[in-house]
Amino acid sequence: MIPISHVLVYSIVMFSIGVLGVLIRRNALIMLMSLELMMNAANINLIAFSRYLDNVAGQVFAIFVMCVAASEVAIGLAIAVALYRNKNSIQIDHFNELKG
Amino acid sequence: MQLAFYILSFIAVFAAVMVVLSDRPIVSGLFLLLCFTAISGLYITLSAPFIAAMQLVVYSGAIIVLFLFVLMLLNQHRESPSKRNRFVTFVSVLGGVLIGVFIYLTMLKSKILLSYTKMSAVGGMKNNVETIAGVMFKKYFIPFELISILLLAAMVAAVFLSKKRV
Repeated sequence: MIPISHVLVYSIVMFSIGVLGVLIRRNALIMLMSLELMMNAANINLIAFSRYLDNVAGQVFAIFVMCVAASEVAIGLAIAVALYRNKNSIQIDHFNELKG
Repeated sequence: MQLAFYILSFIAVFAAVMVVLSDRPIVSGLFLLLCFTAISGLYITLSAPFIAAMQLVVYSGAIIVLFLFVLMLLNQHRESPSKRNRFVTFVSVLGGVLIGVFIYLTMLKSKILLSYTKMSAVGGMKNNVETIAGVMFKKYFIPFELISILLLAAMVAAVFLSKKRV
């Protein structure tokens, strides 16, 4: 018997680690990885509620989230490669052309 | 089952922390693989075997391979030292922790914890795939088709961005 609060607290910890990764790290690829961590935290929430409410719709939405994450990674990595081709770096500090 | 849940969640949190803190991007990618695999086991303890298999195939299989491939392609073995001062980093850490605390407080206030403190007796392991397919292809048929359009658009965008001249 795992209480649902433990699963939710675990997912909150995971999400906070993802937010911290996006905020702290300057490498674009590591920031994408942290985004994946946040998506996984959301997935864990969906699965947990699908289990505790006995409703399988949460698992269907977890599959949708996985599709969105996969396409996001594909586009994000393509953008990273294009940036690297232009600037020879993927440090986020070096891309400040749009800064006001 | 309970012990497995706590062990796997500890492994996943440890791996996630190492993803953020690791100095080398390749090591970060490998820790991300460990994290995804642990989360896949965690889905099994939450009795969602099909999602666990999808997690292994999509995340641990495809996404990690894509990440490692791009990391090796770009040849970024070490992160160059950050130019930002310590104050910005401190504020970032504070902001991330505050976001977590606020979500936790919101969760404590919600009524759903009071009504569902225990895992329901009915396990979802049996006929999991059939149940998911029944819901997905009847009730959520339109979102399913939209997801296919999204994947097609992502593929077109990735091909376009990877062309020679952008």
